Amino acid sequence: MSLSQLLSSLRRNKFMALLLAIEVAFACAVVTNALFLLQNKLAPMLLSDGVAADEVVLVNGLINFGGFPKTQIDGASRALQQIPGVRAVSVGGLPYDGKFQFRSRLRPEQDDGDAIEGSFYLHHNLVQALGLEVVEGRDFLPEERIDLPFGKIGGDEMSGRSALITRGLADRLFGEGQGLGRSVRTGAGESGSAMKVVGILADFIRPEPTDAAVAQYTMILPLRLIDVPILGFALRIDPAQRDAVIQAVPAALEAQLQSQAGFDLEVQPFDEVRDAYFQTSRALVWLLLTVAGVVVAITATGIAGLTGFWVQQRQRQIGIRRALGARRRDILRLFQAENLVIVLVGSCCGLALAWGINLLLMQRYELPRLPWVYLPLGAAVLFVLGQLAILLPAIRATRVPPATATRNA
Amino acid sequence: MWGYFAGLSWRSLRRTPALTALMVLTIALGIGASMTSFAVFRAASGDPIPWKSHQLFVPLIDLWGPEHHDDDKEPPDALSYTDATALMRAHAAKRQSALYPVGFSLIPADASRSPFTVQGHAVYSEFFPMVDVGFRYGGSWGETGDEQHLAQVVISSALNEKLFGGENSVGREIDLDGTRFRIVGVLEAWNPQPLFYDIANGNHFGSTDDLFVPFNWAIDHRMQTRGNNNCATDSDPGWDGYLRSSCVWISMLVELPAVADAEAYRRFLDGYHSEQQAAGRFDWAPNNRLHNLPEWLAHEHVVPDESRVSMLIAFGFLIVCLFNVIGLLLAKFMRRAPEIGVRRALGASRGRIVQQFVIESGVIGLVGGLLGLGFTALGLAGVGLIFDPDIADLARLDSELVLATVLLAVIATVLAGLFPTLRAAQVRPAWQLKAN
Repeated sequence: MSLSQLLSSLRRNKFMALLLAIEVAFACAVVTNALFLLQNKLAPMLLSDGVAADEVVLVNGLINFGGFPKTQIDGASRALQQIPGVRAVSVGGLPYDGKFQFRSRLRPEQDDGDAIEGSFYLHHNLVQALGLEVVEGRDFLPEERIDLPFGKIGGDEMSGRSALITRGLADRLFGEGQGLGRSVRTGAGESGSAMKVVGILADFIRPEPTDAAVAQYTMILPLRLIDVPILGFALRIDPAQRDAVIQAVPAALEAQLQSQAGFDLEVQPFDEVRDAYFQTSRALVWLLLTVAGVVVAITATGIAGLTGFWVQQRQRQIGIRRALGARRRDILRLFQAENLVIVLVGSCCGLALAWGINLLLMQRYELPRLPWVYLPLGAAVLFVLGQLAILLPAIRATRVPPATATRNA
Repeated sequence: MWGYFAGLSWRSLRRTPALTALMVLTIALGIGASMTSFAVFRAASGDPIPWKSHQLFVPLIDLWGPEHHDDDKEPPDALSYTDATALMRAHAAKRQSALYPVGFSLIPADASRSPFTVQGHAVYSEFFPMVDVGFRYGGSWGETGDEQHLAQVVISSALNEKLFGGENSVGREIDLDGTRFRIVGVLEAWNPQPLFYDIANGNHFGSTDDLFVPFNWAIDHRMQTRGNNNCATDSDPGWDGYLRSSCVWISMLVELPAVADAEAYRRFLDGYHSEQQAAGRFDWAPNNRLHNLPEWLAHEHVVPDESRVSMLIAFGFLIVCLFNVIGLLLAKFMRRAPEIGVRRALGASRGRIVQQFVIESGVIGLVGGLLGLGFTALGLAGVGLIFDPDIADLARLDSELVLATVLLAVIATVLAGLFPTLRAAQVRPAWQLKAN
């Protein structure tokens, strides 16, 4: 069957073809963008956070606007350390907690190029407490670990300190495999502080990993904040004694931190904190999956419904074709080819539309660019969908007896 | 005649239950998704003070210079202590207040009750008339309170309820972090959403202030901000060093009733910049901003991006659904060509045929809309899983939304049915009769 034959039959049913093409176009645009958003939400959930999750318990919700003095922080850390089953304790901001975090623009010392944004944790003992893996260099030495009053963050106090950074951040700042022994500078111009990289971590996630591409731009400094309004504790524990440790934490802390106000203390295994953090993303992923699924299903019923109607309208034409020698297989091919042309035209428009929507989203709502692989993927989905949807009506068309041609219509 | 057509539609729809159900379900899904996302968007994008939002402005000063700009060349979204107090002294607007969030532990006089955390803002006395909040008892501490740095406090009606059972507590004292504060005023119930006067600190929804204390008192007593603090350079040691630094942590709200006032204030800001430039503080051209409240809410992305994006997706979904309905209606109507032929031959005009099919699509839309209402209610019940629960609480299915949902469904379906209807009306009676 020639292409011109095919096109002339479509031209005779212009409106039907147009209708299907438009539906396919919108479906394509919606599905492509929904899948892309879904991937964006899913990516941070799939990242390795670098934490030995089943050995870690996090303590959150300690707030005192007047600031916790050093004596209280020391006392609380000691009390936690003495709970049976606790192997290491570190105090400071925690992963998956956006309430108390530090971000800065980072760049290599010998470079005035573009800075990238990264997060830093201020902790004495985070590597031990979270079970992070140091792949190059070393953890902090005892003499490097100092206390910093809350008001002095960003000050000269930070200059010249040691730092641990992730492999991802080291590669981005200094190039593949480099980084150990080099210096990272915060801030811009001459004003920032420079810190020396003494160790490289395999993976470690930022406090609020929303964008997978930059979620590993993490740094740890050996500074413990005192006179600080919010405390968080990371505890490395013996997994067998986890429940006992969680039970013992509130009493241990209450004895040490005499606050005038009561606390909303949260003592949770690491996995639970992580699950709670991603709850919204997970719900959104399910929602987007559902939307994509329903759009696909509705488009399929639309294509099937219209093709069925079309077959009915063209009974006589099919009969004539059959009478003139077309085999059943040829009739099936005819409908498959027609659908192919329609879906092709529709998804081309749809991909342009998807691209346009993505551009709009990018400009106005800080969304990344749609990677081009999504475009053929979206088209492929609709192609398969179209072919499946017409199968039933098309097979019905092949059953039209040649004798129909001789009937009045 | 309309009733007769409605009856005809009902019978026709019942003849093809599967097809009808498919159309109704399609419309209901599209409408449900769209209206759910619209309800969330409407909740998040509400103007918290519509009668005055265009007269309230947030001034920003580019005190860090181009070296610290992101790509968008925007100045930082808060002020340093130096600039905030300079703008307060200049008093160039009708009303103005520098403000920042503070928190205290409140120790109840009744020793048997345990202390609890309260939060609020440190503001100037002009703040209250500026944001148009009324007092149930008493009033603000006035200019004398500002100038004399007094330990006075204005409390919310909720806190008054909690502490004093709602009675007039003006003149009584409360203990905040060990300081005795005299209550000078109790606000009326007031819960602006979003919390428009302190957008830069990011707690847009769900948080309410328990109390307000004089700005100068808070500074004297070295109250640190409960919100964001951003520093571009190091500050000198101590509280005085912090106040002199270029760290930004103070928000500012000014009231400029007329357009000319806003222009004048813009010139004033540029003048202030030039003064500072002359004094050697800035060495770059003025790059100040004066956003009115709606602009400021947009600039700070108060409506979450997820909300806009989900609305875009949901309406795209509705369009797919409607095109689907066009196809299904076309199939349904054209299958009835013989019936149309008979009716035309018996004297029905084209207009009558159009009327009949418009009503038939309207009936489908109505049923779809009612079912869609159910889906919207279901969607709103689950919306807290995806959006900030504080925003989700604001999204409600009120009478306005119910009406909009059903209307949208009917209008969209009738529009979708228009082409199939016109096609049906063009059926030539003679041809159909012959074919039968």
